[in-house]
Amino acid sequence: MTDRRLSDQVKEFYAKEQPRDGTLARLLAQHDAITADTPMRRGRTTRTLAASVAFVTLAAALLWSVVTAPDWVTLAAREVALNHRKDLAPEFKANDYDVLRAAMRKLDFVLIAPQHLPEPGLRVTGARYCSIQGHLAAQIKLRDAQGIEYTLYQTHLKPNADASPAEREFVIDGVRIWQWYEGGLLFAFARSME
Amino acid sequence: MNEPISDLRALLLSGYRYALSLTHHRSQAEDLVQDAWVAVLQARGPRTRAYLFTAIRSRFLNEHRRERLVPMVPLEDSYDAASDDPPLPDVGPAALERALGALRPVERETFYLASVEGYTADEIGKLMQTPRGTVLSLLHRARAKLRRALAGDIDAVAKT
Repeated sequence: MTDRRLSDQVKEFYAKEQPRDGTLARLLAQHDAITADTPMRRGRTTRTLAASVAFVTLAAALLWSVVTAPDWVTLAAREVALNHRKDLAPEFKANDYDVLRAAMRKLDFVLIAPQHLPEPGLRVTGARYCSIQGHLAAQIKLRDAQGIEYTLYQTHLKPNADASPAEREFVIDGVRIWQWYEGGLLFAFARSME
Repeated sequence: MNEPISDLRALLLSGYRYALSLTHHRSQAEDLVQDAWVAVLQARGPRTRAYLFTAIRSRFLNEHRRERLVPMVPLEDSYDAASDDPPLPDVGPAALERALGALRPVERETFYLASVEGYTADEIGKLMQTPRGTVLSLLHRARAKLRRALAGDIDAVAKT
């Protein structure tokens, strides 16, 4: 029988804890994706050279970041792709929006049934909380007649976001995403691509 | 604590384990660390444990802001943490997980930061924006609760 300090036993307990397969890889990929989109960071390691060309470099970097920085909608789509690929089990099992609306009390908006979906003939199977760009969101799980799963997201519209009715479409990491605004909410619908 | 970590994998693992100490729920810990990580990246924040842990903590508190996490009763600053932790039989991960689940999040968090991350009471106080005496009180309380929760398991191990 071994005697050890409680703190050592707790330390060993946590040291064995790992997130599920693929989680760290996704977070690291997120790092690469976001830092690759913010080119001002690239120049930080070359501080000694920067002294001689500081003004030009700064001006160029500012211009470049304005031109290429991803907008909020694109960042939200990336997070939707991640959430879709995580394929987490629903916290609430229900077959219609009314039941989910009543169950998901933590949402700071009223969950609504969308007017239309990019795919027809889907039925609701459940939902869970998630977040999109720091906003609490609902991830609603849908399934078609063939058993293929889709996810639908609803969250608050970012203040002063462009709430034009145009639908946007993205393909990110093998996930096709449609985004649109409806009833003052941002909607996103995600489907894995075969 | 405030030094940038070049090994992002190690940083994220620490972040996940810290989130787990707050939530005691693996899926929620993954969600929490993901949200915080995105925020750190978008804010172009430093890749330090202190910065990531603060982001994780603020998100956790935002979700639980209506809960009063634990009554804060300061102990004497002369409290000796080492003498409060004599050896005990190895109880195994299942018993530890159960016992850790009996703690309040703030107690589990404090114990995690001290035991696993090796933070001092001052460092924990800074992260939690809590006086040092309160941190020591939380540590003492967490350790006592863990020992009580593990009492049955310790007896069972001792009899084998």
